[in-house]
Amino acid sequence: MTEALWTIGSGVIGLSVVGLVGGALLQYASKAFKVDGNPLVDSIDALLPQTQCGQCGHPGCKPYAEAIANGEPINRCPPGGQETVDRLANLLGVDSLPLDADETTADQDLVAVIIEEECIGCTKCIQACPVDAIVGAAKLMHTVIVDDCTGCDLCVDPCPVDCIDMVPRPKASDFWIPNRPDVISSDRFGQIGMQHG
Amino acid sequence: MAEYQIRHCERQLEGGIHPETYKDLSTSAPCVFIDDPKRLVFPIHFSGGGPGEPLVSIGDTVSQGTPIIKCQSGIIHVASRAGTVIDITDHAITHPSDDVSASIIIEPNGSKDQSYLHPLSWPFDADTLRDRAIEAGILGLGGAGFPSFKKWSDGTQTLIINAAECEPYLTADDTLMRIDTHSMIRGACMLSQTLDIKTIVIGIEDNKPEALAAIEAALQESRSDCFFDIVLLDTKYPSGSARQLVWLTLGIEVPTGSRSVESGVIVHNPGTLAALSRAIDGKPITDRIVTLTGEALTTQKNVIAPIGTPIRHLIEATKTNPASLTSITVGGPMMGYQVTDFEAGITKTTNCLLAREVEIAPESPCIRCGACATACPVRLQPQQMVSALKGGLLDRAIHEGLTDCIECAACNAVCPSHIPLAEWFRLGRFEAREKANEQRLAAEARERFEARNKRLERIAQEQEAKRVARKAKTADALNKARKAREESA
Ligand code: SF4
Ligand code: SF4
Ligand code: SF4
Ligand code: SF4
Repeated sequence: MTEALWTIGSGVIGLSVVGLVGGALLQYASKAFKVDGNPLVDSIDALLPQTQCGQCGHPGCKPYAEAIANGEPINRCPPGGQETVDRLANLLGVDSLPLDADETTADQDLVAVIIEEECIGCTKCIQACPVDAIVGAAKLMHTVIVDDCTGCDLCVDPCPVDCIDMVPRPKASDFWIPNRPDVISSDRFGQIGMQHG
Repeated sequence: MAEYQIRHCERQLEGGIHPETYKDLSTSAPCVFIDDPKRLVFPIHFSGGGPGEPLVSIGDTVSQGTPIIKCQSGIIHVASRAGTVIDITDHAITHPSDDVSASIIIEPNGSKDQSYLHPLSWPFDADTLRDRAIEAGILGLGGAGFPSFKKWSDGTQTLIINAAECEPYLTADDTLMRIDTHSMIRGACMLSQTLDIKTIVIGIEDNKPEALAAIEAALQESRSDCFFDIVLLDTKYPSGSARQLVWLTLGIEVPTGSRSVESGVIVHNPGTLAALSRAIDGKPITDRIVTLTGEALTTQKNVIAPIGTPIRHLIEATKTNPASLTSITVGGPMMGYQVTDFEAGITKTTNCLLAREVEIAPESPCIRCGACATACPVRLQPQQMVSALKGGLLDRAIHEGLTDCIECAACNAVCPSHIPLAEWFRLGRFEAREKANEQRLAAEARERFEARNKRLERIAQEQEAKRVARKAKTADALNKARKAREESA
């Protein structure tokens, strides 16, 4: 297997990419441009969360979309949660399935942070990030662009000094959620008199 | 004298309601200044203009006008009175969340120290005016608190002064137009001339004869050569909602999802323009007019209060015991929200504190009477949208037009079953925005993912090409060498 990866990987920079995302990425890369705009694949892909985490067993959301179009079960995407499974079922006109994931991995909005004092600038995380959310030059400290990070987790393992943490996505400091009108309560303001005539 | 005309609006608001207005309650007493409170509260992230950062530290002495908060939008908020920063801490805020948030607490020291901006000399260009509006903290004083300078784009044809004040009980704008008319007119003229705006429209409901008379008098004295088109609107709620007002006064339908600015129209509240006029003279916003009203207060009136004044201080100014109230409505009865912690300070958008003894009627099932749909000024089907939202079907509600809802609560007011329709729509619209945001981020992630894959593939191809070239070169060299050997042999 290692041998095989080497053969496929020899033409690619960053061998770590091969180790990380698996040879599948390369298969994908070579295949990506042959699938030009299959409308079904695109509609499926539009429903996937674009976390690009690979938990579905595919090197990204689009490849999973292709697999679904080819008949793979629709319940393999933990970041999308049950809601995504239901939407896919709706789109494809099939029965929905329970999400195939343990509670812990599903539906947590996380982002990566690099502990900057500990970062040695090795660039391994940059190569791992599927959505180019990490910036930094070789030997210089790296930073995650929070808005661009999908929380896929793929940069954590490759870091040789273990300086990347996954934390809950920070909310803007003026973020707030309106109250949910209690179904059994009533209009808070009471009624206001109406003029007649 | 500035030229003007007065005309009756020829268009009718679709839907809408005629609530009792209760305006006389607060307009029968004169508007007065209020004594300075013992402390002033300035929320760092909720003063209007987006989340901010403090520009002062605990222990600092500030003058009236010293910048204390800088918001992400650039907007600067200043200390409304001279005093000392005694704390920066989580504190109750005047906000629909009825929650606490990081705030700067200032104890006024009674001194008259002022730190104002230099007066701008006329004429100035649009950028100068924008910078001034940012430094002076000018935002929509009507309630939404949108930074005014962001509306000032080139190519604007019309400025509308939103003087409708259609919500029951509210009289802060009416009061401002009676006592601060010249500032409003001057602000409107200077803004219009700077942005090369041709017409200034004043949209005013026909229940404000005193304000109208004051405006006419001010226009007759004004030396500006702006043209004012005063449009008298039938008193009907919600004719003062921006979209509705643009249509009523100009016949322009602002498309869904776009702002009136994109249709060449700027809508400003009278108070915003008066504040702008003062900002041009160097004075940032430090005070505003607040209506204190409602049957549960002992007396009702309009007051001029420093920004940051605790609600408790204002309730006491009406000779009412704050302990007799469990909550107070900030804004009007239609679109306002409840605040229960009276230590919260008023912000630039606090136009009214309303205390009513309301009978809270329990919600009962929808009887499909259709009253809500008749009342809706946007011609939506509120009962359909609310049943979708209650069932967790956000997409259905959006399909029914949720994103067009202006949250006016006309539907609430007429619903015989007391269903809090507009509150559902407020939550639903929030969720719809969050969802749209998520989709935008997902689309961006998809793009970056695909771009990265393309890049990796390109690099792989280049390396492969290089390898092939290198191999060919080596083979070539070997060949040559072999040939040379063979020849020499
Ligand atoms: S598990 Fe979901 S989010 Fe992750 S790559 Fe697969 S489809 Fe995309
Ligand atoms: S920064 Fe890390 S967690 Fe975030 S998208 Fe990139 S690889 Fe995934
Ligand atoms: S709150 Fe929305 S649905 Fe209700 S009347 Fe106003 S615009 Fe129509
Ligand atoms: S007004 Fe109330 S009861 Fe009547 S249809 Fe609308 S939601 Fe139902």
